[in-house]
Amino acid sequence: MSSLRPSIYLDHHASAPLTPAVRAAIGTLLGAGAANPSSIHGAGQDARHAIDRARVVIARAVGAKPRQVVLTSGATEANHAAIRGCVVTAARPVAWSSALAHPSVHAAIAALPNWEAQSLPITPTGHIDLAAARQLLDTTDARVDLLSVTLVSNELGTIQRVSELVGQVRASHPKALIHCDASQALGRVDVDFGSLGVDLLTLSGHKIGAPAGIGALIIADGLVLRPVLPGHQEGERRGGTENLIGAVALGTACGELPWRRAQMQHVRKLRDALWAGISELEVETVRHADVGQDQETGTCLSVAFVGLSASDLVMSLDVEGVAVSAGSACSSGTLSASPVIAAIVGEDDSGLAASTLRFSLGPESTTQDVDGAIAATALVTTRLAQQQRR
Amino acid sequence: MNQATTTDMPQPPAAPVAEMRADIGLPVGSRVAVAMSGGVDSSVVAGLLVEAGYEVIGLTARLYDVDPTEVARPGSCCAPEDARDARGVSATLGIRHYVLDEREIFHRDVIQPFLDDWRAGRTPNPCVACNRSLKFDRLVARARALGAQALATGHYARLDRDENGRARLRRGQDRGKDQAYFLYPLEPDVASFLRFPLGAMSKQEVRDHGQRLDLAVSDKPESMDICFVGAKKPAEWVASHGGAPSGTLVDLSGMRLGKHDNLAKFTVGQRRGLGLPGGGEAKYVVAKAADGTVTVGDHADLRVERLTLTPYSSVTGDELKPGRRVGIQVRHRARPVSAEVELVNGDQLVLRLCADLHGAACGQAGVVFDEERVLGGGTITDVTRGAGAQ
Repeated sequence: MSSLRPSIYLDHHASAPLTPAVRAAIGTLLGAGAANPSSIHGAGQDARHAIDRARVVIARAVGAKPRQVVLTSGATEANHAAIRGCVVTAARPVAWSSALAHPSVHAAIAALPNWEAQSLPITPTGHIDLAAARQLLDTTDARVDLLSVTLVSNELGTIQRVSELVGQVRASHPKALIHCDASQALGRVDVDFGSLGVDLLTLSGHKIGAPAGIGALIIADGLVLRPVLPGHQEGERRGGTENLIGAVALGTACGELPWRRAQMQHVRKLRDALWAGISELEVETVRHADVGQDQETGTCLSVAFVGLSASDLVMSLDVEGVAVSAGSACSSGTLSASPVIAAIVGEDDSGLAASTLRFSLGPESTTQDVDGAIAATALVTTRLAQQQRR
Repeated sequence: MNQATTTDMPQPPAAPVAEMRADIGLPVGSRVAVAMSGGVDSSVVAGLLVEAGYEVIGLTARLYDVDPTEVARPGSCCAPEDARDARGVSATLGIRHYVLDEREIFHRDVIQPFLDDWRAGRTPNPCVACNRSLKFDRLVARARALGAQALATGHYARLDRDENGRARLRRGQDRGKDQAYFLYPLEPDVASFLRFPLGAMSKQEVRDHGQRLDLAVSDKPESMDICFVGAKKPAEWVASHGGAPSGTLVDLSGMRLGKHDNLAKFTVGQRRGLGLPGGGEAKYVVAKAADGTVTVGDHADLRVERLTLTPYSSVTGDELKPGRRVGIQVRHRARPVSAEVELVNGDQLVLRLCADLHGAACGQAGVVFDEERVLGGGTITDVTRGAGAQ
């Protein structure tokens, strides 16, 4: 069967390509045959050792200790484990997040019985409004039992000043549990468990060159969660036979993070060239989160094509060989307008959310990709505009 | 799957590559979109076009949400599970497939008018409304936006051009499956973009092609009922969606015969379920009014003298001239009846019946035929009853 893979892949925030080293590591494991890491025999021990070696690399990548690393099936499970695993004493606890959070964070909070969900305000540039957050949280009667904060927005690439927010919250609410979702941050910005100052940290494999199906939750020493999947594995913190291939792939990808980080200036240059090309097209565009270098990763271009439908654009670009995304894909494969974009543009410009595309780049992206994407965007925006005039 | 031996099996049909290419009328390799409902017909269309060498893109419209309390829905169409079936077929064929969220449009153009019609004493035809709005407008626009040269559907009707280059819509070869009646809102511009590749095939041939192409949907049951109503009767569905007026049953002199709780239980020409005392001549619904009044009469009182169709739309682009003899079909599966064009007034067409026609309901489609060719049609907006037929 022929592949439908477009020739230009600009959806690295959705899933990054597997790196050659990860492919090689997976290939070696597939060739070696399987064993259960919990088995006593030598084959089982080989598997256990492979996972433990991976755990060391994963821990080191984020300045954590290996025992703090709980492997999960991905960031969604890690977010659920962190949030739904919280043990608090308040009768009606309050969980804070923001519109920038991944849907799994909202889903996990919604699944907490008797909890109240609150949202921190965000700025039009796609950052948590720290001044407003201070006003909201820095009062004695504000209740904060859990804060979940996203280090890098999946849709905008904006970087949140997490340690500053953590400092604010710790000062007024020392007992609050603080979770950080760093799925989109790893490989793009520094992620250091200690300096972030959080209690729980979510990591994802398929954003850094490992396959989907592996992630990790870093849990601060002394913090006890109620496991969402009880079982003896992962130090009784996550049941289920460990995903050997996933763990080794994540470890390998984490080992390559220095290389990935070193490519980020190059990625930013490509992203800027992409915007330069797209902004010159005839179609009217509005770029979201157009902020300084230290406030966004440089890996992502979120841009509204005024008057055109994002789902039409995604499909049309795909047909022309360019993979991008818009909004969040729902289970049936339809697109709904991005709540993140809707939150930053405000009600007056709510139409922009349904016109917004996300181009996201990675170390594998090339100048040819950028030129091809600009040409394809020119073609499809012209065609869609003509179609609308019919 | 039936495992019959090859000797029991009829020879599989050959791939009708030449016929498909002739029918599509575009160079091999052209991009052709297929409206895929998830059923066997449109799946086979996609498969045959792939065989014929076109670049096929599957489009599935998501039209409504299924009531989760409703369990079994055999023979539905365009529900989420049908979108999954369409995706499965696309995977088998190796084609691109997109699900389009058309729920809002479908509600506006099909579901709401369906309710409004029943409440106003009309008998709606939602399949015609869906063809007009979803297939001939939205899907055509989406297909054009994707750069497709044509949109193919699984309808059983034949669409080509006559010697003068005008669109020619004719009944399907398989008269048991013929859908020409529902397709009259086809206007010339759209007709030139649409293709009905099954028009010359029988349902059995289509199923055989489905088997030959190994499409998992080839034994799927037919979708016959109104899709969003599901297993319910339309009257029950209307009752559970805000209801229709209650009212009285009267005879032609206005004398009260009884009462009813739901105007949507009645349609013109209906004999059963009137809730009237038995005995005497059979009684029929001859008219309905928005105030809930249902007028009952004898079979002879159903005789139609004149019909008004508004808005009348022409498949060919030609206006009908007064005095022209045509056939008028007022229900699916009914035989067209001879009529004469009496008046053409803007988008209004008035026909005087030249033969017996009993029972025409306002809201239904009135489709104008010349032999087996559809000239056009419109919604029946006025019916003059009387002894006019000769």
